[in-house]
Amino acid sequence: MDERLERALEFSNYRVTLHQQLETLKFKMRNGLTHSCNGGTFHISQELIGFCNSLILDEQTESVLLDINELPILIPDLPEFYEEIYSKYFETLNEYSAEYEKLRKARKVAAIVDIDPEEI
Amino acid sequence: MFAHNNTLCNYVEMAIGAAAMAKHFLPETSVSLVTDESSMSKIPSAKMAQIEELFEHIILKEIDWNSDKENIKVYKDTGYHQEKAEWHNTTRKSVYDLTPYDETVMIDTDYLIQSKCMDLVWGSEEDFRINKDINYLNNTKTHDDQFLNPFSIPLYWATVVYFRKTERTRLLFDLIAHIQENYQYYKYMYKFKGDLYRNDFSFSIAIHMLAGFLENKEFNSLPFQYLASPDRDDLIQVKENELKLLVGIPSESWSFTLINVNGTDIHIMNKFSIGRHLDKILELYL
Repeated sequence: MDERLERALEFSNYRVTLHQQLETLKFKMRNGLTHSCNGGTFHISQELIGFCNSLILDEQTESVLLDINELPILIPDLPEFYEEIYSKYFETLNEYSAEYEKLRKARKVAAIVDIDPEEI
Repeated sequence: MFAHNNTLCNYVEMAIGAAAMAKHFLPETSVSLVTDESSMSKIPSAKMAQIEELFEHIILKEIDWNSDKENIKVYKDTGYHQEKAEWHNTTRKSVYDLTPYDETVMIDTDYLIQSKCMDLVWGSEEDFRINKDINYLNNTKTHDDQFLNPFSIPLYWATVVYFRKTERTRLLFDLIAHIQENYQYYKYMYKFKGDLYRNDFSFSIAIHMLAGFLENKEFNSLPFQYLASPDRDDLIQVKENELKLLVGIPSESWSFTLINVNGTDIHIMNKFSIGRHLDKILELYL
């Protein structure tokens, strides 16, 4: 095989693996940024965190929030809810960031998927 | 979990592996097994101890051997190997009556849990939740994965189903039983292909009917996304909190890429490949 073609195919294989691994990582991150409270399901976004913070600054202790299915969910203890989503957000983001960095630096397929070919 | 063995797959052993993973990641959760006498009679005594350790209840539900004779499924082990066998998947309609719990998550035995996501569903405001969207590892979702046919209703995936016992869910499961008994009629009505009975289709039709024959948000998704690996993929390594798979490309059955799935629940449809790693799963999680 032409060496140029061989190198291009090797690079293509690397890019496909990198892309798929990144998508799997994003999938895990999205699931990690989901929170349940009082029967409702919430996507932990920067907007939700900011909104809850502003409610607390406004001295609100409970509030009705819309969940991902647009159901009105009463949050009985707003400060506790805020604490939970805040810590879950950074826990998930820190993990995502660390795994993303590892992926970004991986130059070979084996490194992307964290596999030792000898083990298989 | 529902597990009815056939000549190819030992679903009960698969259920032991899936339950071990579920109990590891969700230690507070009680797991029960619905199976049949024939499947249980083939379990070696060493495995019986594992079953007793993992499952809170063993519920026996006889399968309909006559109708299942015509329910032939093609089991693929990547693009290189396939075999046919009877598929005993017709007992799920009874889950409402069989479950000993007020809140239940019914999962396939090839759905492997590697996270705490499932815990998000307990105490849901809604009494029934099921996923409509599927995500494959290589992002090759087709129209068939989203609709019963190109002009039909959305497809819901009965791989993971949450329900609480209410009048509405009783109605839904009764309707599913009715659809199953009149499957040929509904196949004609909803114009889907294939002779295989699929719970996904029965659930989708029942949801459509109970939603007033409309496509709306009467029934919402689970609080986590649904990740799946089709049977053209191959599970090649199991480590703690980590599964490595060779992911097939639909247009090139000989071509695979590697993927590492960690900390994420996943439906692995290649049952042969799970069977090859069951010992390792039990070593890690039991």
